[in-house]
Amino acid sequence: MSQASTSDGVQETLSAAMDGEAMSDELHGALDAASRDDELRAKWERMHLASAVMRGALTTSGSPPASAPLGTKRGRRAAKPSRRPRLRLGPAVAAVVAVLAALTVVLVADLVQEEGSPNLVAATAPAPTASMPAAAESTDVQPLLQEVVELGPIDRRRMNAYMLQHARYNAAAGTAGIPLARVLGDPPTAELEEE
Amino acid sequence: MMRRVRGWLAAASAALAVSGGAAMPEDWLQRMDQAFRTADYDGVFSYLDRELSAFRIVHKVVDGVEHERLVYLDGARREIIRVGDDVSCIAEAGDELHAVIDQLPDGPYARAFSPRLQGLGEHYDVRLKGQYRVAGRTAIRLAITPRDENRYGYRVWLDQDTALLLRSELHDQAGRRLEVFQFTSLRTGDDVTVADASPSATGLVTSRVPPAASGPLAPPAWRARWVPSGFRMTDGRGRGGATSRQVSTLLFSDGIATFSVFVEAAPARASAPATTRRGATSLHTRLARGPERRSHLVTVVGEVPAATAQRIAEGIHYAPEDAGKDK
Repeated sequence: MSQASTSDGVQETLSAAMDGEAMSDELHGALDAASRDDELRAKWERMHLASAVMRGALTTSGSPPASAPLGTKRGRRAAKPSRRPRLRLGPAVAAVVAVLAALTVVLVADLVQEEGSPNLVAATAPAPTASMPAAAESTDVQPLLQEVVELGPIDRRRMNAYMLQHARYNAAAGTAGIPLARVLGDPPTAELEEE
Repeated sequence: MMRRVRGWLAAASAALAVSGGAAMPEDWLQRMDQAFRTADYDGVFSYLDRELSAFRIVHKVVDGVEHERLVYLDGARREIIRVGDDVSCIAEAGDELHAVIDQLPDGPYARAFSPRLQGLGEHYDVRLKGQYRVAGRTAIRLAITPRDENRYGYRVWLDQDTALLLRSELHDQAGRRLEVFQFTSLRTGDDVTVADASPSATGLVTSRVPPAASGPLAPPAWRARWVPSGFRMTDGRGRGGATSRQVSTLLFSDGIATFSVFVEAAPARASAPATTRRGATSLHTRLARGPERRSHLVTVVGEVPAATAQRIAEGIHYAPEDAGKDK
């Protein structure tokens, strides 16, 4: 099979995925191919961009996002007038193409809960029928949350060590074994250096 | 023979669940937990948080002993092999995986969580949400929705035949997916051989996980003033841990979600307070006064919202007089 036809096939698979197909082995192969091909990766990003625009999921940094806390890089950046609107892409794009560092700082206030969130159920009331959106029916679900600030290497090693240990304790206690992938998807980091 | 009986029971249970609706969602969660340890399977799964990673997982039970093999399909060549309680990793000589070998969790490695079902309904609404198709197999979908803002929600798709987890999603309170785990191909049953679970990589170095230290552990002298309702301390130890320093650790679980608390003497350089998240795992650090009023670094790590991790961390305090108590 020629490289062009392979590329066409991958594009078709990615396009189908953007149309709402759940992950499949085809998609998995396509994502893998896209991560190695600049042109395919660019197309994948454009597909996500278009999808995000259609969903209204794209934001600009012209005004501070409600979730941006003060005193953080993101908050300070968001508070400044932006010279031009800067697109914030959905993290699925980043997830596919990302090869950058392991740990990322997010903002506490980014996750401050909203009262009456549709993704909670009342402790006493019967559960609503439509609560959290699910993959098979959820074009309104934004993929993966990403707001990042780089940590220094020492802190990153410390965080990785703690995450590994958290995973190990989980498994040992038999209460919750989080996938090893959660902590070892990126290169693991050795024990902290003595400072 | 045992395998056949096990398979028959699984099939019968699945049929009951689907046809009669008699099985409760909690039954499926329990079956899922058992399936990871008792079923034979060989599949490729992807894990997506900030990045997409692919792994092959093989699990085979031989004479009651679990053989498990996790193969990294992306990046550096790595395999993690588990036979019973013995865990070893195979990687290039300079791979950092060798340095953290003693920190590798035990398997099963494809398990997203191991539910503690008692009291689960107080904090989560668990519902069956019909049938779907995942990785070419018929799947039962469950929605696990939190009843408050201090925990995340899950969507899980379980194989109708084996109850293995085919796909899981973890959502934050706004419905945003924080991580996705999914098999893209899966073989189960007698087709899976012990050879499939044996290492195949050549030219690499093998490290073995040292046996866990035995003997009583000192109870932690650090306590939590507040944890979300339903979380109970499942483990606590006064020292030891991921580094050569002395670290006090506490592990809490609500039956689905967990978080760990680590406390150690504050290093000379540390970014605290700080909040970090990777996929569904939040981490918050802060400084607190410990023995002799020396500064200590308190770190909360877990699959809870970052604001919850911060609130927990703010309540961690030094209380040696309470050591050994439940919280």
